[in-house]
Amino acid sequence: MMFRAVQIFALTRLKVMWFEQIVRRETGCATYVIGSSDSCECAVYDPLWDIEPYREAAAARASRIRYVIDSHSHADHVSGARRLAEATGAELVLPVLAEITYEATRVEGGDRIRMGEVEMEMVHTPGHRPEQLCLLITDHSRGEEPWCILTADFLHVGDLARPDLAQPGVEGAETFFDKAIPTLDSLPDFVEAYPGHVAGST
Amino acid sequence: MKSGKFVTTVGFEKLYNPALQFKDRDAFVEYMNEDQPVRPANIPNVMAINQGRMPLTMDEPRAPCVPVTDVSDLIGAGHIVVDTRSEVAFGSGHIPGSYNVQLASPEFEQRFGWVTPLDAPVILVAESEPDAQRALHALAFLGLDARVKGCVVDGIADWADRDRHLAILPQISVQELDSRLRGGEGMRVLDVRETSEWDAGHIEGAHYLNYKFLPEQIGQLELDPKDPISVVCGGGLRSSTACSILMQHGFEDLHNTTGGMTAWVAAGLPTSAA
Repeated sequence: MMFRAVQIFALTRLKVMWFEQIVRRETGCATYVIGSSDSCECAVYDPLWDIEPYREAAAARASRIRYVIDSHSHADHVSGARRLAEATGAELVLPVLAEITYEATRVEGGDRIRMGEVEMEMVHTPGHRPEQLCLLITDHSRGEEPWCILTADFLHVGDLARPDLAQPGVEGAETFFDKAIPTLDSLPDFVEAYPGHVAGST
Repeated sequence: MKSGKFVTTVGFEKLYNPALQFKDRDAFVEYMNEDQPVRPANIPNVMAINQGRMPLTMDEPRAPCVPVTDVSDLIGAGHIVVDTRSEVAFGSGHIPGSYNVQLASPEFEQRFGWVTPLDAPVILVAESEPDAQRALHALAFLGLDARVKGCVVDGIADWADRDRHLAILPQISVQELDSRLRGGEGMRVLDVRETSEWDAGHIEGAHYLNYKFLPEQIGQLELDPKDPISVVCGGGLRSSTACSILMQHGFEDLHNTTGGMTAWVAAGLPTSAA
């Protein structure tokens, strides 16, 4: 029994993914760092303009920021993604449908990014913005089923994001109903959902 | 919806999220578009920055310190002044025509974005140089930092030289407001909070206009600029912002209500609900 416990401990220490939710309380914006302790890399999802909290989170785990991912072109706050990518040499990743004028790796629904035991699948959930991509995360050190989804400006706790902030509201709501909600319905109930806003109106 | 929870599960939301209970598409679309708050005016600018069509501030924003004696020339050249000090400091003396948006308020940069014109260059008044830097840092979250062209951090006393005067904004306690309302002196009350706060309880007979919409909707107020008016919010900060705008529009007899409705309720004074 003793040997087994030690073995599991060693396995866990080597491979289990780590995850941090970083909330700016003034605005309720929730941002995320997803890390692989196997590959000593991490990805940052939807960073705000002030990038120091993400650099600190990565440094605390002695991890390199490998990917910086924007779920969509935000309308309510300035993204720190380009600042963070420039400061760290990370790869900047944006949805293929984002209407941007700068260089980035473009991804779409179904695309996957792998860091060690961590797998992140892009899930297209339009409605707040046509390009929005959620991140469905599997930790292969624990199981083959996804463990959580980062829902950005789609699903919030007890609510959905505004369909009318950066596009016509009727069109946005129809798209939520036709595309994003059926996608959510297809996920297992046990999947944890981490929103892009934990308070506020967007 | 404001939630106190930072995580949920797909299963729980399927069961209990009101927006996920609709079978009918039209009813869902209607539900999602009713009672949405007004969109902040700077949304197109934020979007343009994030899409690369407007410049992104890459480094910590800076703005030069300017002597207060230069400010009247800068105002003459089209600058606006935003005073980031407390409502108490603003009340006891400020540059005439300035906005009061307190750095200490919980939504500093949002409030700044709501009440100031989007295209005007800005001079910040701050308590200290570190406070001015904190203000610039917060404004960068909304892409408002580049509008700041200078900061006054050495106090505003020198403004009073050369025949100029500092403007004041009297503060009124809730007890004094209550007694003046009872005294029949024609004191009016303007409540500038969110509608949800107003609906939960307000002073009987008060006028209502959200401070965010004052710059555009000030003409709709059924108040005379000569009336004695006490402006009230939740805690005395937004009301000082509102007063600063009303003063720019010629309102002469304004009072900022110290402690706002929190103090009013704590003092056991009556409210009426919607």
